[in-house]
Amino acid sequence: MSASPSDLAAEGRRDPDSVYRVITAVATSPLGWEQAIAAGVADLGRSIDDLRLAKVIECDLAMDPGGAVLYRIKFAASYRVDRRRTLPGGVTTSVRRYLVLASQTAGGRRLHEELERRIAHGPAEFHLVMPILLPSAEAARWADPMTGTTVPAAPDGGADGDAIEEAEQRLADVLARIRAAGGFATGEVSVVDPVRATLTVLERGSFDEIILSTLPGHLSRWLRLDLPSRLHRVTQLPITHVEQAEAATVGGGR
Amino acid sequence: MSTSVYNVVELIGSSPTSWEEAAANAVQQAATGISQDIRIAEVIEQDVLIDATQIVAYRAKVRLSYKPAVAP
Repeated sequence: MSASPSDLAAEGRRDPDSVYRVITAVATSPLGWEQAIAAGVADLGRSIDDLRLAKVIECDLAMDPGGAVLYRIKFAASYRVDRRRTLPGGVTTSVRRYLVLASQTAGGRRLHEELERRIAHGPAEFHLVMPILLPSAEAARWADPMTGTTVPAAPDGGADGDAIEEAEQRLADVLARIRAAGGFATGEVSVVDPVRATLTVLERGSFDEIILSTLPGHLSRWLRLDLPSRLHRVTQLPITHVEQAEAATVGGGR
Repeated sequence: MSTSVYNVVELIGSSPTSWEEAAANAVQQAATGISQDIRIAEVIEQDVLIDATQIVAYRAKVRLSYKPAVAP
């Protein structure tokens, strides 16, 4: 049941020296515990690319005053955090992992060239985080730029839903380009501020470097917030900053 | 005074759709292969196997007890 070495060896797809991290999560569904854990796993899978096993810790029911039942499940999912990878053919190699932070400039030429340089350097895995400002949070952003974006008001409704859908489409296009260039790429759209989004991703995985892509100084809200040094301060990771004038060609962003 | 002795076994059942089915698979297997006299199976662990973001198997570990066919 547990991810014991013999279990994993039996699956024949892991090497014995691998290292895993375990994350505990709670998911709910009105339909059942199976549906709840499926939704939870799908959600974690948006930012973790190597989920293999989730152990159930606890199942319970929550009831609202109207009597409707919500199935809740707490589970521990494990994923690989070491850098060794076995290539087809059995050769073991070590990868470098890059966290890419870009919103409006995702898909831009200069960022892409920067990523291509990393790929040329050796086996590379990228995780692209694309923070967006929801229309419902836009008004608040002027009052408090760092926290105004954290209001996840009805993310599936109306204009907010459209904004997320458009961003996810753009994300898929950019990831496809990175893969075509020879990199392994995952990504996610985030509706929280870029620092918080970065910290969330770092809780789930480890990275060697952050590549931050922004508009040029006078146009970039992120630079006005001094994002490069903030990120370095909270993550202690090397930051590479790419400025580019052109916004992404697909979709609008903001 | 009579005494009772029970055998206890643990089995892991698997299903692509649910833990209910996974547990039922394990119990049915036990009923045909181990003993006809199984009354209760306790689910002691559940997990899922994942491929990418999809669940490929629900697994349930069940513990069941039965009286040995011949009393010791």
